[in-house]
Amino acid sequence: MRARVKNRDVNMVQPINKVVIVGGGTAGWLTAGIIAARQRHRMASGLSVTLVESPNTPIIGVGEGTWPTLRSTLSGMGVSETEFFRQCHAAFKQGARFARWTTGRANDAYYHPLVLPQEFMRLNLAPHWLSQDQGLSFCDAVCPQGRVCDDGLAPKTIATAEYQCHMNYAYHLDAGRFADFLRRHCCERLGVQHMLADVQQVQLDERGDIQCLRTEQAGEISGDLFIDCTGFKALLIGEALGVEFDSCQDTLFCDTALAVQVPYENEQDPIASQTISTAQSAGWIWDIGLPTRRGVGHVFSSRHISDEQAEHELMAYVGPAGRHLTPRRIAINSGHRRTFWKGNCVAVGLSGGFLEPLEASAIVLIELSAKLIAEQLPVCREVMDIVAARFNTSTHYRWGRIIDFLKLHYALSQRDDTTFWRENRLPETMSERLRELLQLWRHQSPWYHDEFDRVEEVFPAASYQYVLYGMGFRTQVQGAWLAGETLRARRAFQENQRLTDRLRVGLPSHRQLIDQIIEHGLPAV
Amino acid sequence: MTQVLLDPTAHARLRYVQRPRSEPHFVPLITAEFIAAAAICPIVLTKDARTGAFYPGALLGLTPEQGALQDMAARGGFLPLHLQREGCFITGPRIAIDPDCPRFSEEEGEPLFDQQQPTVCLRRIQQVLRQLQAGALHTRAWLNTLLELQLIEAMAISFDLGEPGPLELQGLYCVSQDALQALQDDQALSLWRTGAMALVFAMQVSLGRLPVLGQLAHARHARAC
Repeated sequence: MRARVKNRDVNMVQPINKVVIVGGGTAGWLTAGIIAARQRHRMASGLSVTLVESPNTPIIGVGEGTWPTLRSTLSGMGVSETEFFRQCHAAFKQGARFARWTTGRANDAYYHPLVLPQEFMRLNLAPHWLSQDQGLSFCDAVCPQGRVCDDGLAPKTIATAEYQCHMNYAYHLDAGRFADFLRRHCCERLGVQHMLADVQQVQLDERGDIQCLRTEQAGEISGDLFIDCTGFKALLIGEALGVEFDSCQDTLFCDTALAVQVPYENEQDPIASQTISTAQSAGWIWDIGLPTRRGVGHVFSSRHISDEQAEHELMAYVGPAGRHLTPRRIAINSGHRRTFWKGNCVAVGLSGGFLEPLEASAIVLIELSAKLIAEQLPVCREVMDIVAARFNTSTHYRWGRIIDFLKLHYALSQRDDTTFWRENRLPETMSERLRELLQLWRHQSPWYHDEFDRVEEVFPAASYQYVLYGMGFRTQVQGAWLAGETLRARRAFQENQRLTDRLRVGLPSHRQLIDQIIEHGLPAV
Repeated sequence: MTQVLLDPTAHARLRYVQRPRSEPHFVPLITAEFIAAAAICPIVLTKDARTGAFYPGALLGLTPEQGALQDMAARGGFLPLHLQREGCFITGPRIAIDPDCPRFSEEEGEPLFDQQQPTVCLRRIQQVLRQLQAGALHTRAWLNTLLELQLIEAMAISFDLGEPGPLELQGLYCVSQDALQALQDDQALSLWRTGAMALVFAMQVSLGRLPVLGQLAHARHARAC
């Protein structure tokens, strides 16, 4: 698959003029779009972005849930949000509702919403909430989004401009349609060149850089920077460059998913505007509402239950609607590459790694990596290793934080009904950093100013608050120490209540808004 | 709101009250009304709650409760077309009415029919409806031009009326002065030649009436306190 040649003069300055992206799924097209949009002025003076896609490999279509970051990503690429809704069967996502994660009982549920708690930048409401027993969940006490989701409402109205909102939101989408939508936008609007070709051989030069790809249909494709978006195959970073893969299955046990697409009983059935994540005996079930169907899947640990047991739990969750459905089995090897950028090759998407879909980290990791590449795109090969080292440091940090955050959901569970849940709480299955933080948070709650001020931080402190206090974690609070802030905190809680009441009256239903967007479109301003 | 087709037999005794009984604080306008309205009240853009589409309107008060220019005298006799036909609509080739609209009565106002023939009053309403129908197309085309040139921006308007705090008007839009200045010569010339620029100027001039609304609201607020 790889060959070496000696024909590059290493003493000459090598400008980076040709970016070649291999792989045409979500990762490939998002990366192409982000780079082409960010570097459009450089493209006008010679930089080219080419995407090479196999005509024979179906895309995996990773992720149907996104983060709010996708709004700025799409907006930055010049994508019309209206067209995105129309063509990708998109829906709004206002966070996740976690059911049966804490105790496993039927009434056990909490929200991880996408809006920050009231006054978050100025005041930490968590200790105030902990010191009072208001009878409200943490989420409902500090933000309106849980109630809005319970009511099946949208985060904006048809009069709200594209990408603007009353409440922060992300998307649920049809991943297959999304890749196709991005392809058209990248090729028609952003000047990305598209080649349909199967890579047969990766040609390396004497220092180990990729010099060109030999393809079946298009001959030799040379480039200065190669981006591997070939999915689990990892054709460039893995097969050609031999970068090792570090598994994290000793921390995140789930290694298999069974997925089905569930039709709505009636066309006008409500669409959930949150991902519903329901814990099972050895994993959890995702439930994502699109306008046309639901995407439902069971992520589980094959070490703890069999495929048959997992399918039984999935079908019990889906109910009669799943009678004629056959689940698609997807193997999950949780982990990531030891190095993400080696020589002149960067791995983005599944080739870089994958984690179970809890908290929908797949697409956001593509966005973050692509934005970093687009921002830092080296001018010449001579400085690429410096950029690569910085990229690797940031990306490693991000993966580590995401793994910790996912593990937090398991570590806080009080479920004792199966080995899966008991083993998930063993200290040796957590990173040292997470163990330390859990100890620290017994005495002080996470907040804006302490741990989470790095640019590379993926989850804000608010996310940790929502999960910790949603799952019954308790931070010891000295009521007297809060005296100076009590009045401000009371006002903030009251303001949240007012805002919640106002939004619950003023927002349309989720399906109604999607229907309006499809019919009328969202205004541009 | 219910709509029924206007029928000479069924509505033989129906009368129309010429002056609205209560006037809203915001009335939709068509571009043909801009020049007359500009000297009286602010012309702003807002969005249709059902479709999100922009439409222009006359701001006759700061809030539904804050009446300012909500009577004819305060407006120097200006009566927007939408108020002249309140309760009447065009449905295909015919006129429909909202029978629950308080402008309709069998006791007061002008009759709509005389021996099953349209009266002057009804002919006047027909004419207003025709004006609105034609004006809606022109208004939509004008708005599309503004949108294409990315000239529309949100307005930030705040009035200090004392307690309980400043009154902030939200959901209103105007033409961006900066975007207007940044137009290419050919774009500006095209706006001028098609008459679109004159409408923009009328809108800009009308915004000078905003402080008047503020003063009237402030005086009313002070009297109420």
